[in-house]
Amino acid sequence: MFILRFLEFIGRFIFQVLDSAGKLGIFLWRTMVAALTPPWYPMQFFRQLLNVGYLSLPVIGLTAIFSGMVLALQSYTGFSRFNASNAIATVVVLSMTRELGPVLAGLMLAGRVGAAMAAELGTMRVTEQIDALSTLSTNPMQYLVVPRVVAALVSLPLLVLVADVIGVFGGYLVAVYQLDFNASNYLSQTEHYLEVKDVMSGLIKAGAFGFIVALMGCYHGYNSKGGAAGVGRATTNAVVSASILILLFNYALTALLFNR
Amino acid sequence: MSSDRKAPDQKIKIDVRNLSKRFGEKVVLNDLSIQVKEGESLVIIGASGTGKSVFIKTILGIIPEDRGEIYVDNEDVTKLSGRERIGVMKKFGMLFQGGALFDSLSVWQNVAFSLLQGTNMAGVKLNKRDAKDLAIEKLRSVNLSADVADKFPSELSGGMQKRVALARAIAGKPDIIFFDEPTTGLDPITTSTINHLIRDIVKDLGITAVAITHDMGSVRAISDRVALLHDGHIIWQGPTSELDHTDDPYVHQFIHGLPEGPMKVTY
Repeated sequence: MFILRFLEFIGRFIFQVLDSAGKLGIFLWRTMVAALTPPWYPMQFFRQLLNVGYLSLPVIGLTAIFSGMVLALQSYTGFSRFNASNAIATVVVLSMTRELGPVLAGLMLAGRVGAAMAAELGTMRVTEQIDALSTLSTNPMQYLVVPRVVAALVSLPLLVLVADVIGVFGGYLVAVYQLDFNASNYLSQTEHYLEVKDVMSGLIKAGAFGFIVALMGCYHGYNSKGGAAGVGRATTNAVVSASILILLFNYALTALLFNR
Repeated sequence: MSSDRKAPDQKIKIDVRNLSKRFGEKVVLNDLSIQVKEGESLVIIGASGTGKSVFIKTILGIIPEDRGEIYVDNEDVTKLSGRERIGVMKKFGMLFQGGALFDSLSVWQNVAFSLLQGTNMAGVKLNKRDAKDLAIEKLRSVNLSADVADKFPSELSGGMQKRVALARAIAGKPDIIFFDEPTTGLDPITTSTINHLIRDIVKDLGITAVAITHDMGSVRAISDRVALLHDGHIIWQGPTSELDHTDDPYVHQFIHGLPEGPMKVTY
């Protein structure tokens, strides 16, 4: 009896996972079809660009500067134990561009933008505004989802580029003013071992993470049901699923872009 | 109330045949068939939860049907692709129960939405100034003054939101207009104002109208013909004037609001 119930539980769980994956896959497909067919809504796109990109700058900037500062301190702690403290400039810039820049920016964006998208679209769903769009002969996928997803896809790499610079500056501040490094030495160390592909791999990740954040925000909002509680659930699910997918794809992309 | 617009040669505007829809185990629409003639005002009545909203949304293509055909102007819209179906939507205006105004847009942008996007019946696309002028004109036609144009929906009362939504529904000059519980949640005075507005607009513009409601006051004020939806299909239909004379037990129970009768309301 117990075994049966246990198997039933496992079966149901697997079906649920497959069900969600299928629904998400269909949503992804519809988003891509909508993105590639006219009409496009440039005003909606710019509005989202402003919201996702420009207005996220303070959050991303703060995250980046403290990450850079912590990186400098922590790597000094480790490296000074075997007289390698000169390497901290390199550690800071590589960690920022390859890893922490895109991941932290992606996670912050999931909290700031993914949640907002889920709540906004979710409210539009439960108040029938999404239905109203289609009765006005406007495809909600094209009008609501595509501008958000494309805006996030475009803005996160730009935000990460800014985060990279600010993060390196944070490391520089700590190294020069707290750990008494020579300023010009630190800067030349920073760029000496840095390669274009370090930055590029971070930006590719950022594009993927931006896409994930907006897609999960829109998916959960668009399909929310059940009033205020449903919108709350959609928001939670959007942030949690986006964060997990970011960490998962972070490993996948790192492994893919990795070369010895 | 008036049945003077009925003529035997009236064109069929919407012809729904054997429409069925179920959600999981629950059968909501079961072989529902009904015709709506051009220019008439049909009101569908029925208890809460009998699938009135589902019926309207299925015709609009918001909810996909399981089975059946829906002819609009002799074209079976169920055979159309998603994109084509959204194009057919230009013929329709819809007043949602809660108004469903876009809260990120101002009142005039809401009203003029289909004119700014060029997704109206005539296919006209107006610039901002013309669209705003037209929106203000539409607002006047629902007895709202020009100074609400720049407000946002959240700044308006429920009755005003309903009127803005009505203005939005007629702004694209649709052939057919749907009303989902147009007076639910409004006070008696606003209710009768909205009923009169609907009546006037439908008459003046010669629009085919389909409304769903459980408010008998609305039914008598706006309908030429009434249909009763129960158990997923239409069990009675006839001119509004016959409503009080029919001996159909379902109609009798509904219009008098009797707890006892053939209809068992279960929740």
